[in-house]
Amino acid sequence: MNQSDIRTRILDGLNDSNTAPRFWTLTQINDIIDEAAEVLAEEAGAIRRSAIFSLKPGKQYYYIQEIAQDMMVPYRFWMTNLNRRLVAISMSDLDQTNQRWVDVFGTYPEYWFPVSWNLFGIYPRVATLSEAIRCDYIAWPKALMDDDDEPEFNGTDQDMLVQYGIYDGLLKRWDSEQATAMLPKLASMISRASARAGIWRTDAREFRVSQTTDESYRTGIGRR
Amino acid sequence: MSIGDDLDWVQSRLQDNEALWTREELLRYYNDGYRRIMSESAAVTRFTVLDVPGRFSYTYCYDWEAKEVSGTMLQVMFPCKSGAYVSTYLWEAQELDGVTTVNSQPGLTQLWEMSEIGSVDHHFQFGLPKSHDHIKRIAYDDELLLPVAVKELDWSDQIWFRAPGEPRWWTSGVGRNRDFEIYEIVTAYSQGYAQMDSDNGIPRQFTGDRTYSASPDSSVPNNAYAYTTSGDVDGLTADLGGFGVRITIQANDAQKTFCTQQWEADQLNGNTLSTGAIVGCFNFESIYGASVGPYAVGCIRSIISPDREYLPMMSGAAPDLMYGSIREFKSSALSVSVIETVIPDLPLTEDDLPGLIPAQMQKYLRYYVLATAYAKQGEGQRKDLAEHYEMRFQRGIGVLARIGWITRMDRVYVREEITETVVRPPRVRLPVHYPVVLY
Repeated sequence: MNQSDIRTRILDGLNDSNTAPRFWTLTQINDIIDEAAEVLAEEAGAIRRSAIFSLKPGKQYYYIQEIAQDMMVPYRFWMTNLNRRLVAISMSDLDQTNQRWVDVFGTYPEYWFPVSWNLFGIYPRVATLSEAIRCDYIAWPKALMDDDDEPEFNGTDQDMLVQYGIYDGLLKRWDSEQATAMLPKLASMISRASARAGIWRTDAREFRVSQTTDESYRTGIGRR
Repeated sequence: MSIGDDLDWVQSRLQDNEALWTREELLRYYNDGYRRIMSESAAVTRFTVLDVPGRFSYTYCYDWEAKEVSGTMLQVMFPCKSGAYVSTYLWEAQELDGVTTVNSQPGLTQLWEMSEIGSVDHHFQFGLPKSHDHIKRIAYDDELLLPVAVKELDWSDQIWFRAPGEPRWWTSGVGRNRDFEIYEIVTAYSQGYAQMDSDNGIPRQFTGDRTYSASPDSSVPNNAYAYTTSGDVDGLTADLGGFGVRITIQANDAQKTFCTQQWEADQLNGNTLSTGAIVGCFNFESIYGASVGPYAVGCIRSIISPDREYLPMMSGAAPDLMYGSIREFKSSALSVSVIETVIPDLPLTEDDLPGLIPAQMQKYLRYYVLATAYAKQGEGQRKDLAEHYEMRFQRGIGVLARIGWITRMDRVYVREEITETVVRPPRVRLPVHYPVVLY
């Protein structure tokens, strides 16, 4: 669904005109769609991006905005030359191993740790190397640019954008009863989107027939 | 999206144009929500470096004076006689109470004076800024200090608050709110950087034990005109716009002569003569061998070193916090550095952005305004909507807290500890059709 399709469905759900709604401007509906996408991205972590940045000599802390403007949270740092992933730890972990870890320089970094929502550090920092690191991160969704633009989410998850739009529209009408009634449905859709972005995507299962003795297939065909 | 835009959005939801909720009122709610989301999520962390001994913006004698000043403050006097008097020395309090006086440590007006007078009767305190929320980590000279309670230090039966030595511990201490103390104490004065003439604008140059140099970005424009003597300046700048560069060198002779070549200045200064070089007026003349510009003008955008890091810290309230000039330089060497979660430094105005949190979090501040507005007693009260928007605001706090602890995305799984158990191995269980062979 593109922006126009989603907007049409929202206005249908609110029983308003698709082209000249009385209670809304089209821009307001578009803003709600963008807001819904943000909420879905926050909860499901469904939008992933990668960026390359270079280690600077002597530099221990990096703002995420230095690496990518749309970064929400980084989840993987990969040293491209060494084929090595930096291990995520905390400052407390570092404190327990070395109370002067701030002074430590190394040939390559081995760990990364969070400081603030927009700041992380690497350990040890390097004095001379200018190593390229690939940062994989969960991103904020970009605002849809026009009616033909389509959200990046899976087609099924795009339904959540429609439902969120209707829910928000009901709130604007002060119809909190109906809006609240929609919350369980929205929560369920967000959970499924979260699973689709995470465990359902990575869980490569091995399907096999049950080994229970003499159990037949569901089709009714008996075991030989 | 500025805060003014956010308030427009809120007003459209409230369906009110200042009949029930004024714009100022909504802005107050917005600031409250901003402070609350930063505090409760604990996601906004900042480095604060403090000189040793601690420096306070103001010291005062009586509590009522604190109202008149802003910034960190310290009461350097000892209240006595039910607060009717304050004394500089402890013996004064004893005298006022009519007991036998004993000699006291020196009095002071600022704790940094300890670097001159040594031991005092005051606690060794440090003040954190008004934006402080809670402490996450404290280090001295980049080495971790561990937290300890005042009671534990008191149990040592020593005057721990003026025990000299290497700092190892920090404690919330006995000072005002947002103060803390360290144990043991170092009274030798240490200040990483001093900003000279900071009232006159942005820094123009660095000087110090280290080697500093400035390199302009390629986007910095070259000079618009060149001139030769200081006398040209007044005449030229009246007619010419842009950035002018004097291409001459001023000698130290009595006439303060301007020289085109370095060797000319050397001659006048009585130095060994340098080799002559091609002197140009503009950067493009480098193709003829001249060396002119580009020049480092404007604000500092980054400071780099292979030996240490110069990390910018954002603060304040502005349309965009990533721009602007540097207001303060600090060094963690021989200083106390605090990693603290913070709340907003200043109340925001409608032209500002809540730049200390992600822009995408602004929607939760709008929800907070709606929740508070709908909860207000009176004609516009809608308790159901107030609860609903408060719930959504709470969700926003949770989201920001998750983002603030970003390593959650990269968990390290730990294998369970293997406990030794003595059990009989299971018997072999064969299929019921064993030893049937299936083809």
